[in-house]
Formats: sequence, structure tokens, C-alpha cells
Amino acid sequence: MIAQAASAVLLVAGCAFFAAGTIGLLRFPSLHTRLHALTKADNLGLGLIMAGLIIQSGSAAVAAKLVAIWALALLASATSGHLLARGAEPDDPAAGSP
Amino acid sequence: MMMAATAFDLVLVLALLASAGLALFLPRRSTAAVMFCVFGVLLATLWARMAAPDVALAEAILGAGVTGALLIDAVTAHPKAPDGSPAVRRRTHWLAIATLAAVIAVGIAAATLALPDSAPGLAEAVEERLGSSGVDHPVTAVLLNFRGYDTLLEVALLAIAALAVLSLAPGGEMPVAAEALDVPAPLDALTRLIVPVVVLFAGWLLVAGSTRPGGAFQSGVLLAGAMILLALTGRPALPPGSWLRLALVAGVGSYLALSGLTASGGRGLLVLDEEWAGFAILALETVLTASIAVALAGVFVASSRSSRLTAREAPR
Repeated sequence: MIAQAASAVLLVAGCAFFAAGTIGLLRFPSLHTRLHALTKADNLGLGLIMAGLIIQSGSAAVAAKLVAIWALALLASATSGHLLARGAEPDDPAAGSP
Repeated sequence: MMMAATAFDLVLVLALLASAGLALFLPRRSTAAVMFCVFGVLLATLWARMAAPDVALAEAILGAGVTGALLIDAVTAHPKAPDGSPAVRRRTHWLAIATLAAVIAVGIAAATLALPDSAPGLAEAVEERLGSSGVDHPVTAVLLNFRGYDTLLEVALLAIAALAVLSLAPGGEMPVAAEALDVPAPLDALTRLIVPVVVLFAGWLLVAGSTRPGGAFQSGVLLAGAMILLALTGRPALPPGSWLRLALVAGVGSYLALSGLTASGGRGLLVLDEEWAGFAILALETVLTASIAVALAGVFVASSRSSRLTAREAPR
């Protein structure tokens, strides 16, 4: 009972962080601020959702796979965030639009 | 509960249509290429929702992985059109194409709605013969045993396509890695961390194909993704020289050898006896994995190199 409630709270919190990241993507003025919102908020949202799913998983193998998914997603989004920020030129018209 | 599931399905289909439309009609090519990757991920979710995990695996790895890598590489090699303006898609003829696509879509929808509601399908027939097929997973049994002839033709098609792309490599020589100048440190570190994990995962997918979703195709494409990562960071990604040609034809060759053996010495073309069916399928899948991985990675390296060379030679 407690586990179900904790899982639900974690899942809802994860979705809230994803929503915050999406609002940042839509509303922030430039590429770098948008990347900041996406990489930080979305990674935390993914971690909370994974934590909620691990509580519900009921088996160590599934929990280990979920942790592995989270770690790989962290690595990939950190690297691609860095590459995107690096590749955008300062006067690129797509990099900043109010 | 049903309401939530239906709402989720509706949102998923709308998101699919929206991302497909954006991928087709966005003027900036780089954004359109990324939308194609998004479309691939949403399509994989749709397949998973329809209880087809093998197709979802293949779509996720191939559509959002290898094909997405090919598209983004092509788009970033030519950021400007030949006349110097930003690479924007021309909108001529799109009305005629849209009308044709709408007519075809309506025709397919009408045909699908006219199908009988409870078609029997072949699931029961497959279940009956699953015990004698050598594997425990119905999809693998159908692909590699019951309809092995179709898989032979598919593998031959892939090998021919890869050979065609590789033969267009500039200079007449096939590089073992794409041009990688000034590799950023995070990408280098990521490659060193992830490639062993991916190789392990691909090996597991290959063996898991006998009992659960997986198999040669998914494993081969995953390996191709790892090889593309290696190529992007300037490391040798492909086998050199004649080993490359050998790896490309090894899949087709071994499949042809198996069909020759069964046709001449066994009970018929690609009829696998129950005693050695499992072993034959696993051995064949191992060779197919290597062949598919080398084919797809070779296509990426060849097209990446040729598009970057032509981009450098284009008048600025």
C-alpha cells in the first residue's frame, strides 16, 4: 500500500519535471537556455519515473534493467547536449529567437 | 482504465501524424531530419502498444538509429544549397504529391475496414509446430524456419544494396573510418563507455532470439550502431580490405550453403530437421548478425565520406 502510494508520487513528480522541461523548451529564448532546461529537468524527470517503476517492478532483473536504461539515457543526453551547444555558432539565427 | 488507454492511443496516433508532417514539410533540413528520428521513436512506441515487440525493437534501432544517423549526416554535410542559400526544401509539386498520398491513404483505409472482423490468422498453426522448429519464440521460428526462403532473399537484398553503396566510395577505396576531425572529448568518452555495453547487449539479443524478442536482425543493427559510433570518433570501424567483402557476403553465402545442403542431402529446400534445427538457426543467425552489422556500418561510412568530400569540393 505504502509502496503503491510512493510509486504513484514518484511517477507524478517525474511527469511534472518533464512538463517543466517542455515548458522551458517552448519558452526559453535561446538554444543554450533551452538545452539547459532539457538536460537538467528531463534527466531528473526520467530518474524519478524510473524510481517509481522500480518500486512497481517486483523483480531484481527488471529493476537492474531500468537502472541501466536510466544510466544510458543520462550518458546519451549529456553528450548530445554538449555537442549541440558546441555546434551552434553564436550568430546562428536558429540559436536564439525571442 | 480503458479510457486512459484509449486516450493514450489517440494522443500517440496524433503525435505520429504531426511528427510525420513536420518531417516532410519543415523548411530547415536539419530540423526535419531530427523530426524523422522522433517519428521513429513514436512508431516504435506504437508497435509496442500493439504487442509486437520484435517490430518495435527493429524500428527503434533502425529508424531512430542507423537511418537517423544517415539522414543527419547527409544534412549536416550540406548545410547550404549549391547556390549559397540556406538548404530549404522546394515546395513545387507538393500539392500533387499530397493529393496522390491522400487517395492512397483513403484506399488503404477502405480496404482495411472491409476486412472481416475475426480473421483466423496463422497463430494457431505456428503454435502447433513450434515444438519441432528448434526455437521457442514464434517470430524467430517463422522468420528463420517456416519462411526461411523469404529471409534468404531479404539478406541477399541487403548485401546487394551494401555492395552497391560501397562501390560508389570515392577514390575507389573504402576507408575503415569516417573522417573525424577534432572529436569532442565527451563524445570520445561516451564511445569508450558505451561500445562495450552495446557489444554485450547485441550478443545477448542474438542469443535471446530463440526464446524472446530479439534475433539476428536487431542484434546486427545494434552492432552497426556501435560501429557507426566508432567511425564517428575516428577509430577503425570496419574490417579492412578483403575481410570487408568477405563479411558482406558471408551472410548470404552461408544461407545459400544451408539451402544447398538441405536441397541436395536433406528433405527439401530449407527444410530443417528437428534434431539440428536449433543449432542451424543459431549458427546462421550469428553469421547474419556480423554480415548485417558490417553492411549497415559500411553504408554509413561510405555515404558519409562521399558526402563530405563533395561538400568540400563544392564551390563556396
